[in-house]
Amino acid sequence: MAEAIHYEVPPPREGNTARQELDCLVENLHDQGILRFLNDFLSTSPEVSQILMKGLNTEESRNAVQNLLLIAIALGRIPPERFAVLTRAFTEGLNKMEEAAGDGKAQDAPGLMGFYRLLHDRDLWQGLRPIIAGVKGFSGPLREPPEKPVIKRHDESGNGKKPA
Amino acid sequence: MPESGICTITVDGKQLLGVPGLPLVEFLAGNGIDLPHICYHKTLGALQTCDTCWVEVNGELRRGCTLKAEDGLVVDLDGDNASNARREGIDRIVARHELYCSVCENNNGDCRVHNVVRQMDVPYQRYPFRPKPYAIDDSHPMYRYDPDQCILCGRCVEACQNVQVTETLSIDWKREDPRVLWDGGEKAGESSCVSCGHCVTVCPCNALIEKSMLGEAGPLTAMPRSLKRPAIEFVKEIEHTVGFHPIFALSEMDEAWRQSEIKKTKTVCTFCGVGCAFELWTRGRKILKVQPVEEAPVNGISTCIKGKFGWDFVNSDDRLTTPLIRENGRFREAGWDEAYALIARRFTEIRDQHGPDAMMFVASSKCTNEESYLMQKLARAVIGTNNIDNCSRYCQAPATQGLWRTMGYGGDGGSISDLEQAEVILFLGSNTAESHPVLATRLKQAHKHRGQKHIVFDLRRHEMAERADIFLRPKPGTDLIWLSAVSKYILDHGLEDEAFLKEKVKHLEEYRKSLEPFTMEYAEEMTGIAASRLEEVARTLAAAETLCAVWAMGVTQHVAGSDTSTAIANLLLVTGNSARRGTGAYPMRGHNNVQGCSDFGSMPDRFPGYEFVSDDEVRARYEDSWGVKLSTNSGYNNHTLVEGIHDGKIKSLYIMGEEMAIMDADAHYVQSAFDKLEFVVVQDIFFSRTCEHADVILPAAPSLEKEGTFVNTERRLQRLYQVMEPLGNSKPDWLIQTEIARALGADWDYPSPREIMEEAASLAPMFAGVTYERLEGYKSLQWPIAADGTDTPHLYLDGFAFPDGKAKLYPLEFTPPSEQTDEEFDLHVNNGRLLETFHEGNLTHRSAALRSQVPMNFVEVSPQLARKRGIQSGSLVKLISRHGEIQVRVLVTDRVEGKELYIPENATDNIRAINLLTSDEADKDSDTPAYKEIAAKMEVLEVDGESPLPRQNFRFWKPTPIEGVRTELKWQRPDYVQPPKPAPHPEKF
Repeated sequence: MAEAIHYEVPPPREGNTARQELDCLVENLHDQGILRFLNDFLSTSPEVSQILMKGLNTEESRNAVQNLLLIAIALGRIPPERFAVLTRAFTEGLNKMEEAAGDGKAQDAPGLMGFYRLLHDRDLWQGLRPIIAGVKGFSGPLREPPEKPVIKRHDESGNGKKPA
Repeated sequence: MPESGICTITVDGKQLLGVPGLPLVEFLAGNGIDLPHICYHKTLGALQTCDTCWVEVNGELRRGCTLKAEDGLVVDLDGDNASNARREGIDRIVARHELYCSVCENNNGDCRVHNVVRQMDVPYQRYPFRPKPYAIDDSHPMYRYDPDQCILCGRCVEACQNVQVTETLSIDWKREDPRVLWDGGEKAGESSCVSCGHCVTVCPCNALIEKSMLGEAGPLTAMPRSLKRPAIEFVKEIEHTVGFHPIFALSEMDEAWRQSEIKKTKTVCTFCGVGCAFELWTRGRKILKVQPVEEAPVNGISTCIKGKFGWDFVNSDDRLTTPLIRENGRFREAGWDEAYALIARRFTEIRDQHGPDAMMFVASSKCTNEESYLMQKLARAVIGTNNIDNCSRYCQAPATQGLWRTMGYGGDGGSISDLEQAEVILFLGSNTAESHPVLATRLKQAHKHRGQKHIVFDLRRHEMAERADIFLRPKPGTDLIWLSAVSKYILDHGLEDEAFLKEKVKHLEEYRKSLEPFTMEYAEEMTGIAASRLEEVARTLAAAETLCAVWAMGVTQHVAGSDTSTAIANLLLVTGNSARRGTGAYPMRGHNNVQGCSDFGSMPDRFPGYEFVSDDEVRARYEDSWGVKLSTNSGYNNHTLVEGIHDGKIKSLYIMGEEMAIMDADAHYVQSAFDKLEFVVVQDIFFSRTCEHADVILPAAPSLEKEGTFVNTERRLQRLYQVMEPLGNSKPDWLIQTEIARALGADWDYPSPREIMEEAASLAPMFAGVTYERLEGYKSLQWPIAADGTDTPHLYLDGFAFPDGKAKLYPLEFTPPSEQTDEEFDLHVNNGRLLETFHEGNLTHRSAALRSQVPMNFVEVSPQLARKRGIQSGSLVKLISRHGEIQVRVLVTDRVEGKELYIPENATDNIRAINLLTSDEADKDSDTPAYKEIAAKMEVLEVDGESPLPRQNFRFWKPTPIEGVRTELKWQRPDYVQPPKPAPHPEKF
């Protein structure tokens, strides 16, 4: 006799979406050889780490890392609009230099009179002014004694005292 | 439609060939040139809002979407004027739409805005983006509107107004900051929106997006908004310096790695018989979205609320995932082998003890053709009985009967395209807009745009009735009378198609004589419709050049359902409306494969392709193939089996995917029959009311977890592909059937549904040319299908399906409904479907989005009756028929009139289900239960209560019909200037 009886379907035993995601990740990592690489890396990690640290801990490596960071910090202090002007000017300057170098025409030396006329060339002077000002600005810090960059930056921001 | 032939046009000095009449955008695409465009859409046409497709013709700027290819057309694409105009257009778009593609849910390769910006190599943002003065609209449970991302292309408006024709969406171009509106307001969730999803589907960016996509589409989209916004702002700052290119490179990497985890699979919808096909986007078991595609043969870009948003039931926590066996008054989990062994042992014992005809097999109209084929083969070849049927017995068997009597084939006479073309459509007992919503969109389009005339006969003022040119309410169960009276009027007044009748139809005189009682006076008296209105209908139908009749369960579920269906066919023949394009009979098949389930043999007296079991030649063909001797005994059907159980003739039942305990009429009688069975196997995806009677329950897989084919209402076979693996330990039905057959000793060895179809096609001439290759992707075939693959979109063009090729007029008499109202049972209870639910609701009740729209069942009561009984929306009433009682909440609405009630069939328990009220009476010719013949009385249990429909349900809101996007209003704005001139405030429009 098939008399009616009720049954509550039990909820799924596990919330399986995260598990599926994880399984999928593991499968992909395996397929791409990344798991093998990581396994290899981990199983030899003391040796590899030692080699890596040895390589990194030379003066050249330390300098390279610090210098790259300094460039990054300097780039961070320049507003993009100003940097865009600089990169444009630099590109334009390079183009002109390339043009001048590549035009292939023999150019006579200007001579004294020619040099004198150049000194009176208003456009040329306008062009040289920023470069001269830049050279002055550039040479100023060059005369300062070498310091740890972080201290210099910290002092300039007015956030701390210069150490004795 | 493009003209025929080929034309030559000149583009930037080069000559290109293509189809004349095509929009330039498409013509160029056919020649490998991608003219930038955003708002243009093949289905929606040229909206002219995005201003990104400018070209130059004879020195004049023209939008490429509006130009039609014609011989001699000379187009300049690359000139400065056109290029600058296009650039101005896309700059304006980007001023309205914030590009943050890597964290955008729409960065999936099909974002039109992204693609056009990339295609035009736009280097940077010329006009700054400014947020709009509107918040994100999160009020709709299924999709979200973000005004900040909206480019006002108007695709959504066009789709809503002119494709779906719900007419909810508009753009108010006169606002300072225009935006998309719902019924003129700013909340999608409080509007007449029917959640069909058209607007989301056609949105070219992420302004309208499925909520199921939010945070799920890509690896970076999951980040919380509190992180996403600062991340976007950081990148936007950098973008000022680096421009779009490197940022786009990142977003394209993001798009590429999304593709590896998003799976797009074609499937066919299972929520009605229209046969919509679309892509399902999934990541693992997570359903991201349903994406319709233009090449889908039936629906194109269209869906309804269920097809677009109703699939989350497949991941429901209460899915059956392991076999269950009844033991000591409870169910316990079991392994497949144990379940199969028990089934094999009990089936064998019962067959040996009582004979094969003591066993009954019920196939499912939700399952595939292949599974129907296997079910009847299991019954006939393995067990040896013709006791096999399916739930078309509950709905459209009478329509099939009516067409068999008159025209020959039990299927729609033509295609949906014929319905679209017809001059007049006659709807009878069909709530098409809710029961077959996507098909209804095609007819609403024809009505709105082409003036197609709609005549609706129904008890209830549903949407099709609301929109109809003529809407008439006959008394319940009297359709045959007015149909016959109209036919008589046409014949009496010489309005018939004489040539058609003479050439193609038999039995006119017998039929004419049978019509004698059906005078207009008699019709008026019996139907309650004035004779003058019926005469108007008769003249309109007779005058129509092309007429189609659409009918559904309002006609068939009566004691004379077959006769009324026959009367419809008779009327079509009298007026010459068959065997021609744009004409014919269209019974609307209810379930996704109710047509196919019968087509592939799950009927007691017919093999696949409707060949008779009693035909010796046919039976010999199957006996040869299957290697067994087949029974010629007549079999029980879905309805008569109940009596068979009560009579002690049927001892065992195997039900696949049908909720018979609730959905067969007179549910108490059905359930008490099931109590008497010796052994019951139920195969389903959920623990249904029917499962309560089972001895073994087998966990099956829904359509998304298997392959196969379905046949839609227009006899169209389409393939569905497996979207995801079966959940847990469940299995596809075809595999379960195969393994049961093997457990019973049969040598079945089907590796996949493909081989099952090959076998069926080799045996049934109707499907001789069906192969999976011919159904690849979105390809489809309409039966009958010849061995060479030629299919039949339009039946009877070469004659009717009788030996002499002639149709038959079939004389009829009126049979009154079985249940009449009287002084005690004074209310007539109509019943049927709702847009948001499917059948009893075992699937759709488990969709959170759908359930939010219709949380419970209810009874519609007319305002007049509500006043008289002192009830209101939310009141709880008991309805008592001569067969049982239910308790439901009241919804007061003028969709019903007087003492007419309407109850949706979406209930799964004995408290609310409609079939507690229905009788065991059935159509005298097909055994389809007379579901629509209920007399009841009402007792008021509680006057005050909460409305059964939430206020956000679309039925409470009023649409705003307009002709479309009205782009001219945009052009009339004082701040609009035609590109390439720069716009003063591009972010506003």
